[in-house]
Amino acid sequence: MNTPEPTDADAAVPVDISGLGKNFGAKVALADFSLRLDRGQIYGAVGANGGGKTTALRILAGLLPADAGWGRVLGVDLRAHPDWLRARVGYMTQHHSLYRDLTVEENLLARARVYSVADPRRRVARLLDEYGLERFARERVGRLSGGWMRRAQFAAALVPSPRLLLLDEPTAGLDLPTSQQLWASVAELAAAGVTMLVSTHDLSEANRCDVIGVFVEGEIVADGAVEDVIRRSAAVVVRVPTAGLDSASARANLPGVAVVRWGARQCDLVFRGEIPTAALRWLQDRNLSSQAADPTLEDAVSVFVSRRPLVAA
Amino acid sequence: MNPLNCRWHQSVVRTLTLAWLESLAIRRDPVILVMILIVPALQVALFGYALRPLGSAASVVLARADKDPGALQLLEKSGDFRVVADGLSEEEALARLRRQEALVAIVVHPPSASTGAVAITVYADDSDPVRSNPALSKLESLYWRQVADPDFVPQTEVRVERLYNPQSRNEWILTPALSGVVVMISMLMLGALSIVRERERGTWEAMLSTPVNALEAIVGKALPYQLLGCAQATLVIGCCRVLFGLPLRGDMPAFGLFLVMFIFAHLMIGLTISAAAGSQLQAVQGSVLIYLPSMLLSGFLFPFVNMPWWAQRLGALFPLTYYTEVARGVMLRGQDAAFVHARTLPVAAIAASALLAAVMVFRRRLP
Repeated sequence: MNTPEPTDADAAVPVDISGLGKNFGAKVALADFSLRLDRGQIYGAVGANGGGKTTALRILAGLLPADAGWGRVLGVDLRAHPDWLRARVGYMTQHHSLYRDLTVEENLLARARVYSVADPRRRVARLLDEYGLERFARERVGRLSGGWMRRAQFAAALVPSPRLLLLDEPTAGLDLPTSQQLWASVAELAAAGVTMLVSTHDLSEANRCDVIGVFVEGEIVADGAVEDVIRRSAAVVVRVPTAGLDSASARANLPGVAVVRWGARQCDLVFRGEIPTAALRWLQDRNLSSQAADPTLEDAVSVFVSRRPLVAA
Repeated sequence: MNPLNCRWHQSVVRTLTLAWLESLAIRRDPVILVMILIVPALQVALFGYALRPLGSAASVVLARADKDPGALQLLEKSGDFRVVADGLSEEEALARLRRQEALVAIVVHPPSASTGAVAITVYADDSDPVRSNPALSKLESLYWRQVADPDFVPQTEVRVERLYNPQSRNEWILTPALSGVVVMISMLMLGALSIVRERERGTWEAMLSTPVNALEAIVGKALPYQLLGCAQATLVIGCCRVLFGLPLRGDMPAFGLFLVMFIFAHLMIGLTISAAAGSQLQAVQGSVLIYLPSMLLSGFLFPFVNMPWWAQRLGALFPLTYYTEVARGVMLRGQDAAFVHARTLPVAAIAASALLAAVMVFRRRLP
């Protein structure tokens, strides 16, 4: 029996998934991914490369079938209606995905037709206007700067007027002003009720999200509001001057340190939980004046990501 | 009902949009246009002038009033000939030649009422001289052996007529099938590189995230190349006509339909390779795997009928085999629509199978 086609009813909970998993052969790309997002919420997927962020987005975009778990996206069964979802979810890929030989307008127009938008030209004109792309409308995408190319790609993801938008590292390689403009657009969309999942390596961007998840080797090791994630990481930061400290001896003699983050004059030693006595003694022996610092999201993520004894950042 | 909500309408719009996208991309890539329209013409000219093939074969029909077993035994005893029909009329014998049921027709005319001398006309199908030349040579040597026989009464006049390529023009030997080889390679390569190139450029993932389905993607991608292929085939065959005076005697509309199917089949095979390939290099290698046996097993370079049965069966899987038959038949022997349609059907079946394979292999492969 065929599953009936879902209707376009507006879902109060656009993302409600539980235990989603995906394996590529023996490799676990994503395990036990659960998430519930209300309308207009922004979810930030952070973590190291290969953590499973892109896999999670691809599953939600209907590009990859999940091997385990269940979920409702925009109110419909994720695994039963991938075609229906593809027509309604906006997806901006990590890499440039517009046709470089075509103009910005042609790219958007093609998208609008593929999505069966009622008045493609009008929709494209509106997007060009909203995202300041009018002056580049007839410019080939391949001739645009990286920032404008990314902005055009962002506009292309919005062509179907999605209520769920998936952004895979949208600001990768962008300068600060362009990145800020893009986030301003994200905030506007969220205010308009668009739910978003954003994958990012830039942890300052994660601070703009309502909820974040830390992806490590396919597992979501922590999630929640940024403050919660920081607290749960149990990161303890000690700031010491760099004079008299070298990388090799720090690695060798500071037990329990998760990350050593070097600065020009001082460095932060990030510990998981309490600072071991041996580490404190080692610092005292070298007359290194240490002072406690508030852990940041970067510290917290570093602690989660570093399951190894020591990672130099 | 709003036509925009009709699933078929949306599907057609999506397919045409992909075709439009592909057309724009082709138009803006001058290298591809040069590859498709200029290089093939140069290839035809180069190969047409440069290659000089030779070969052998022999099936014979006899047109004569009496069925004297002596002549029959003579031919069959030589081991070089196989008599497939005897006692035919001259018209029937020539028709069999045109249908390629025989390579040589020997017509024994009634003895002259005044002198009693017998006139014999030997017709040979020179649309495939790789086979007909050796057959005529063997027939000639057989004749001279007879002449050397002391009992031979020289009251016979023998005349040889080479049909379809009477001047034995070298260009006419290769160019009919060569035009198909050129189109085949172009279409295979274009199809094979199309999806894999998009995958490498990063545009494919975004396309897969849209509602475009496998059939729409495959057909949409193929459409502009189909038109380009038709233009290329017209240009190539036009070059054959202008440069080498190829006669084009047969049913051209039927040949046009065959060409459309021939081009589509190779695009579909190419797109199947592209959907399966992980890189452009793989796609190119996959194409070579198709076009090399096509060239060797189709009768383009070596006589098809001389191959063992298994090689003929294998050759029947390649559209070029049918093209070689149809091109020689239509261009040189003036074959009719029925002959062409009978060979269009298997090519259509190959195209449909390849389309099915492309859709199945396509799935939603990510980079």
